[in-house]
Amino acid sequence: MKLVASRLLWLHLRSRRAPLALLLITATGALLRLLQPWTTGSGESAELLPPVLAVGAAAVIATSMTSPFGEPERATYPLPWLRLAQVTALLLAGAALLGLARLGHDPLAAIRNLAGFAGMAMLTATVISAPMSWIVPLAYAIYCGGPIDIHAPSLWSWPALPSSNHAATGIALAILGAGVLGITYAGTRERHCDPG
Amino acid sequence: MRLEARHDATPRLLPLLAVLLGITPLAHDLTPVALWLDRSADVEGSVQLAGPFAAGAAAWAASRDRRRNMGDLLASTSRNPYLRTLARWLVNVGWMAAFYIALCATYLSITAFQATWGGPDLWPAGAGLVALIVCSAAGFALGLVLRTRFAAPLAAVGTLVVILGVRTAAQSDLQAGIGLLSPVYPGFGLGATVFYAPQPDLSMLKMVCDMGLLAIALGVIAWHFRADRPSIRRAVGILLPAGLIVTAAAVGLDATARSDGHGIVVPAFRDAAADRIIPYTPVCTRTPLPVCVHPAYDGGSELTILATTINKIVAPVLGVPGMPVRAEQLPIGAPEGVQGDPPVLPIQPNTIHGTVLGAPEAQWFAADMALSLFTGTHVNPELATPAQRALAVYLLKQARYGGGGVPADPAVSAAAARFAALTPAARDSWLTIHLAALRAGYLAPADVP
Repeated sequence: MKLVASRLLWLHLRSRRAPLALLLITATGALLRLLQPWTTGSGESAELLPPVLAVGAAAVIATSMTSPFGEPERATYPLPWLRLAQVTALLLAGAALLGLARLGHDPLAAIRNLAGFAGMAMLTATVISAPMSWIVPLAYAIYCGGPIDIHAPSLWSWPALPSSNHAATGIALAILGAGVLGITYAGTRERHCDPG
Repeated sequence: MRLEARHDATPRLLPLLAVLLGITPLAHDLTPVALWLDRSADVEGSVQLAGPFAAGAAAWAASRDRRRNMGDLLASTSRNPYLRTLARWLVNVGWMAAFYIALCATYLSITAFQATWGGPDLWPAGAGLVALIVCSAAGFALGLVLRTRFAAPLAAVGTLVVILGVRTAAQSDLQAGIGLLSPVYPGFGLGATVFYAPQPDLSMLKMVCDMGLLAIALGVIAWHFRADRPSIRRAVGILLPAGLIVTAAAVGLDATARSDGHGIVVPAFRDAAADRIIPYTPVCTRTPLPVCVHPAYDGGSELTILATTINKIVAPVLGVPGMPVRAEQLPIGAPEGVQGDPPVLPIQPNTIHGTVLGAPEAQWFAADMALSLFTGTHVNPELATPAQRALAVYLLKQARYGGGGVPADPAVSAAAARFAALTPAARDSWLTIHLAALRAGYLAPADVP
């Protein structure tokens, strides 16, 4: 039974392109590390690059949740557990990789931002569709560029705050919780005729 | 084309983009002072916001046939697949271009009501439009080539990373560098734009580079269909090499760019005959120390804010021989420190939007003015001597700006306190005798009474 469950999980992950997603998250972490010299300044661009790369990793996680099977799959095995396992695995891998990439430059903020943006992307995937899950977190990251530019970050732009700000961490975790809950139980929104 | 327009997802993104524009600093910059080139550069800078969405939407549109398993059906039609696919991209980019043009029209219409000097200059806005088209073409090419569900997020996030990364490169090397080609790097020296005839060197160079990148992107799209027809292979053979050559030429010209007081000079595009000072009659206040600005800066509250701040600072030393009889705005790069006969206090041109100056900016400006009164001509106020800083701290404290903007050690603070304790007549008398020596840097804090 245990063997069947692990094989089922592996097949589920493969059907969601989880290995490719993991590869892309690794590439995002590597890029974040490579861009380190350009992210240590105090300008808007320098400070915005790490959150934007966290959006990239978050969007990859949410996009990977798309089901290629639709109704026939939902009629078989209870999917929430498989979805939860998938999202947990990718989130943990992403947190570890982005945290490593930001070692020495507030790695906890990178992990917090990944959590918050991933929650946002998963909520977008649940409401709109998984391949368009990047829209809301990316728009929010661009909005955060304004407060960063004028050196006035607040809780409205929590990704720009340091990891020592507990309220920002709380907001990110709350968004992550809502996103995981939504995508685990409802899955991504699938349409017979997707937009575009 | 009509069918493509109906199926395109881009119009659903446009309301989000409009909301995003409304809550970013771009909207805040719509309050006077209104400088035409400043506003045009703002429109160009909106590519940072619209470009990633254009790339993501284009990548999504490019993958439509694959998502809907239309490959075999479309392969059986007689239409040239490259032209058919280009039609889809044209519709997709058309929506984004229409949005950008509407934004540009709105921005410049508002500016027309607010501006007090000059006229529209469309070079930066035009360069922004070409950059937006390149973002879309690159996203479309990525969506065709990467046959994966991750193409759209990768295109969108990747575009923003490239824009931010290139801009960061420009900030780390202001003389030249690949960063100058970023759509968010202003093509003009915004502090000098109203004083000199605008030169579109950098905007032209950006457009040349973007044309090269556009040809490369269209070549990659053609390459995707290379097996279909000889005419498409010929298109690949023309577009890819041409794009690479033009882009390489633009990067080569970028290496020749240098910065002067007016902005970035690209020798190949510089029209030396048009590079001239534009005459103007300054607008002045009727305050104890008259404050004069270029008429372009007269639209909002800038003149009032400057006059109030400067007069509060100079009030105790007004009338002392050698102290300024007027403060006047000069272009960035003009000599610093009190200069001329009669003496004039120069003001750097900084655009103040709205009716108040933020606390950090106010403190920086007040400190710069106070230091400029005591440093010599052509001396950067940041290089003021301890004695000069002591008197600047005194002026700032009496004007209730604190001394935060001026580096002060205990000796400087003590000298400032001693000077503040003197009677006004004693202060005037000491300054009359020692101002020249103070500006020359011969005095130490211990020499201040």
